[in-house]
Amino acid sequence: MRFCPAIIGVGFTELQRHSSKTAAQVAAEAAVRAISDAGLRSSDIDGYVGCFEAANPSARHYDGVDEVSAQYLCKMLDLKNVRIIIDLPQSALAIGLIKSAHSAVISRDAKRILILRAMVQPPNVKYALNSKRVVGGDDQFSLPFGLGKGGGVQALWWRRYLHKYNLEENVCFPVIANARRNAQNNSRAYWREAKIPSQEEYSNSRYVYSPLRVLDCDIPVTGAIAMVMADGDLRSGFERAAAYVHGFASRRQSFASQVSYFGADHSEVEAWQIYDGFSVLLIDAVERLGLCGKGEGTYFMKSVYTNGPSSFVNSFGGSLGEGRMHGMGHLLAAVESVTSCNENIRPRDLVAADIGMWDIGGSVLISREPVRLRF
Amino acid sequence: MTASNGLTVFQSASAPPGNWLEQCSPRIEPDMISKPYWEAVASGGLSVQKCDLCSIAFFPPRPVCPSCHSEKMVRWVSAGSTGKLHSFTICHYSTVEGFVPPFPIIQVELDALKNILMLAFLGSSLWQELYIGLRVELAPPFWHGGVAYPVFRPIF
Repeated sequence: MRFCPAIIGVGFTELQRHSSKTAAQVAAEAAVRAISDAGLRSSDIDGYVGCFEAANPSARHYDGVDEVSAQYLCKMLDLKNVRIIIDLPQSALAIGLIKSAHSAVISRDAKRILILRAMVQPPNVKYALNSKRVVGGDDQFSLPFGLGKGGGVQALWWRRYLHKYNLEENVCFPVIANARRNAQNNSRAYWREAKIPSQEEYSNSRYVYSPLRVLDCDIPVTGAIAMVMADGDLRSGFERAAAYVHGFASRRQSFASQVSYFGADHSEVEAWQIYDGFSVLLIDAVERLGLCGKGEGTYFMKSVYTNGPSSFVNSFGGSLGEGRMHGMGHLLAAVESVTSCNENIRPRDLVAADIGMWDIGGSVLISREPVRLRF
Repeated sequence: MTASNGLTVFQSASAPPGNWLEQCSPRIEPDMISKPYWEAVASGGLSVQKCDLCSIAFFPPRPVCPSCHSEKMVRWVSAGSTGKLHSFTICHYSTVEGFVPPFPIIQVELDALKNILMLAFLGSSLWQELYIGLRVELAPPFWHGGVAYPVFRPIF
């Protein structure tokens, strides 16, 4: 029986604000580092999975500038032996990237796949601003009423949640505090040197879409994260510790049932890297994942923050602490958790990354030890 | 009125939302699927689609029932004129061009069709009085860019 595919190399850039660097520049930088980290050359890469589309509504969609396509990058890096290219839209999130790479390796379309996500926050651009003058499709029922991206949908959901469970505003403070505290151990994190806000500072921070505050939102950055995924059967040739990717569970299924399908127990998962582009998404996620009961998410996170271990959730600071990498930061942190290539993080045996919003997206299970495919 | 950035803000006789909308705010182009909805709003009412095969009502509009995929059994029905606030938010940092914050966004759950939620403009300046469950009723539509938009006002 074959072994699960494994992440054998990672590369990333500094995360900056208002940088003049282009998507192609940061993407190439991260990709070269990942390939080198895997002990490979560009000619060894035979597959590519990326995201061609910038996620922000204000994007101008210039290939190589505020986003980068597979064609652009493969040419730039001279990836001449790439046999399969999967270039996804931004709605795929990072879980779509790693799942696509995983499937390509399992189906033997490629043996060593480069996975890449570049994010750009250009100077003098209002990142989340939608400037469409004429709208159609589903947008015609939201944009003309002022509901754009940037927290409006999340705010509507969150107000409903607070009402349903009879909670006061500002109960998300532990999510932000946990993120900022863990970010201090992450050399990439944009907020690594920032003071952890107090409850009062959080409660007095300005609203974006009430009751969501600016501290409830991740900060857009320019940067890139790349990984090399390889066929697990090649493990004898891996140059460094690898992170084995067991499999995936969609948000529509019980993660506990999926974990058991892959031969593990829910309680064996030592750390969770959970998408927190908005703090309230993490609250919803911990409840969906069965880490706590419905309506208990804020209490759970308060317990994580005050009693610890704070590294149990978003050990790297999450998006809220690191910066907006659309879930790639969470995948990278999960890989680092098991391969201990980051000296500030204790190596784990089994880690999960959950990336999504409500019932979109899913979870991935990652381990330090090689694991056989279950089929 | 002139907004703080110097742009002219559209004036409307029917209370807010004219106070926070600029000429450059997004306008819709009704299409074959959505045209009946916008026509109903222009007539002072509300219509959504309902499937006679599986009895579900749905919104936003679709060419086929999202539940049973029936096309021929889908028809437009009146959605009534009352409801309650399912949720709301006050936008303080606009991510849609042409909106001058702060402004309210309301999500209404219709009495006639319980699973239908829709966004609408708020026909009131009493934003501080909003709460989930607040009873609301359809007000005269707000005309902007040649299109009528639904407005709900609180029933205090």
